[in-house]
Amino acid sequence: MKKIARVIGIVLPITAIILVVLQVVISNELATLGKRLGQLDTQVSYEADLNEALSTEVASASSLLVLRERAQKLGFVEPTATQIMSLTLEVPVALNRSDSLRPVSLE
Amino acid sequence: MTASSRSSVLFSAFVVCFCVLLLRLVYWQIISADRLGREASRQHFVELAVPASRGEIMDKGGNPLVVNQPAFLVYGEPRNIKDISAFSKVVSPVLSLNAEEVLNKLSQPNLVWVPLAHKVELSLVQTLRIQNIAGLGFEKEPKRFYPEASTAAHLLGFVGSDVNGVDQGYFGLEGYYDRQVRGIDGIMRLEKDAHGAPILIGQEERIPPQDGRTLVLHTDKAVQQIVERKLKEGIARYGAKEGSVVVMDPATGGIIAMASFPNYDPRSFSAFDKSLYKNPIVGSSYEPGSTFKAFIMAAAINEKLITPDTIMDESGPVQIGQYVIRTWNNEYHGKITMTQVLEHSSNVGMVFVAQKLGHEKLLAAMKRFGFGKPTNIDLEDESSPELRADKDWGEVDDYTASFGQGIAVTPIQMVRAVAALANGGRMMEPHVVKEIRAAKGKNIVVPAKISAQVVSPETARIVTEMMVAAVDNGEAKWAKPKGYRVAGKTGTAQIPVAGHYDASKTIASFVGFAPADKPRFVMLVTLRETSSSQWGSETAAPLFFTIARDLFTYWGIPPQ
Repeated sequence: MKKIARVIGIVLPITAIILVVLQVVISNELATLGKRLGQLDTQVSYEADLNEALSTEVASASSLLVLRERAQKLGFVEPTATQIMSLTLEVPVALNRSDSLRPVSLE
Repeated sequence: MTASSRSSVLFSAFVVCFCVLLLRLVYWQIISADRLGREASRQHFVELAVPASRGEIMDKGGNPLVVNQPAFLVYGEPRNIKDISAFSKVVSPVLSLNAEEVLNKLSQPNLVWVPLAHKVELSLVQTLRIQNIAGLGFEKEPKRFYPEASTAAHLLGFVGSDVNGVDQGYFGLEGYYDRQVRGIDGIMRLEKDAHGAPILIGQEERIPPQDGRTLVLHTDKAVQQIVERKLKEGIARYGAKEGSVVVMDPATGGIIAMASFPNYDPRSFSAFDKSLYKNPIVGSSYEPGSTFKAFIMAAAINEKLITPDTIMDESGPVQIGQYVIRTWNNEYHGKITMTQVLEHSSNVGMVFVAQKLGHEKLLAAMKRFGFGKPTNIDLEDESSPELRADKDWGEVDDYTASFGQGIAVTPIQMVRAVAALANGGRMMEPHVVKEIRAAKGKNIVVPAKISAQVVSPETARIVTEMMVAAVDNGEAKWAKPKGYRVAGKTGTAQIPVAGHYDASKTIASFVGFAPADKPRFVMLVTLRETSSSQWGSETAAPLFFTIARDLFTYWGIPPQ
């Protein structure tokens, strides 16, 4: 019984000392990590902003205005009346847009 | 002094000191508690506002019409700036500011925080950030980005600032749905060390922002582009001062496209005249002219007072009191059917219909078709001209109203009423937003809403056939795409100026729907003060058919 008490009397103080030292070391370590945490928060925020900026670039690049401009540069033109075909049998070529905006005078 | 009196003095001194101490404690802990608490909190905590993202706006296919772009408020803290002059010289060129103005701003006494530039883009902010300039700070201040530039400006509205400098939506969808799309800002509160860096094991409180809701529209951006491009061309070709086009799905009331010119650019709205902000399709009224005839005809057919084959005698002008009502070209065709009344757009024929209908039923029909009341469209700018009071209607007013003069409507009221004829007599409430998507949580689908059954399905079918005949045999038949059945009606109305009609100023319009048997769209085209011709059949109608032709191709609608 006495032997056990002696062991406990030695182990407990040593454990306490180790834990105190460990706490000091860890606290010290964590305290200095604050700056790193701040940097990481800033980095996260920056990456989120960058992501949003890239989304706007994608939206801009896929806009109809840009696509139309690029298509025109590549030589695409709007279809004319003879280039639009209808598959219905009754009216094979149905879209006649040659005089669509022709102004007429009143009779 | 005796021992007793000495102890009394000492006791009194202790009591006085205790009272002073007590009062001081009361001052610190009760009177100044809030202020000291805030100061202590400021020393121990760093508090950051986390701005909520404003909801985006998408077209019906999920393509972005309005998104957010990262941007920042750039500010200076004079107390932390070592050399204000050098600071100004470094910062000003990047922000495109005048260095002297920045110097003057920062040199004003007693200022701890000076905003230098709002909504600065990320790339510029990064240029400044990497220089690590003391006294220069950045705060998130996102701004709107429009991938399609000024497309659908009147429909979308814009984001400006309220009196406190906080973002607020104005006009269009941004104004109407401002509370839905603005979201709620969050807060991040962290315990900080002596250097201002957060303490990892310290207290932390994060209230995440609630981002605004995303709006998904009925609008199709391809149709919107077609409409805007053709409308611009039409305005130039016909020398119009203004022009508008609205395209609606008659079955749901969904707005597929809506455009008016002149318009503004929401990216730089402050550079435009404020009068351009209002959407004329929902906020401006006009006299509809002959396009109105279809409703009066529908009302009379619905009451079984006439049929398409009812014959009237159009032998000359009609005298109503002191007024003489003529046809638009002063030509008269003798005995004609009601269908021919629409084909010839006969004012005299409409007087016959109005006489059959009578004042009460005519007025009731106009109200049933929704004229005189707002349509409840989800756009901020809507206003509705009121119908004149019953007691103010004279005899001639019934007759002029029957051919669309002396009555004011908005384009959205007009297109909704025609959509009712295209939709079997069911009038739908017009809507721009189809779905509201929450950042977290359930999505809200805006259901199609029937406003009223304005005429019977049979009447709607009969009037549709009459409108098809009006297109096939009317003045604008030359412009119609071959092979398609289009129901429509032209209109030319004089513009009232100071109580009189100005003969030289007209609003030309064409309203119709196609394909007539199973309408995919209803469209109204209005052109104001055209110079090439004043008639709707020579300006608005060809523009309508030009747009319709592109829509047939886009939607793959074959000829009947």
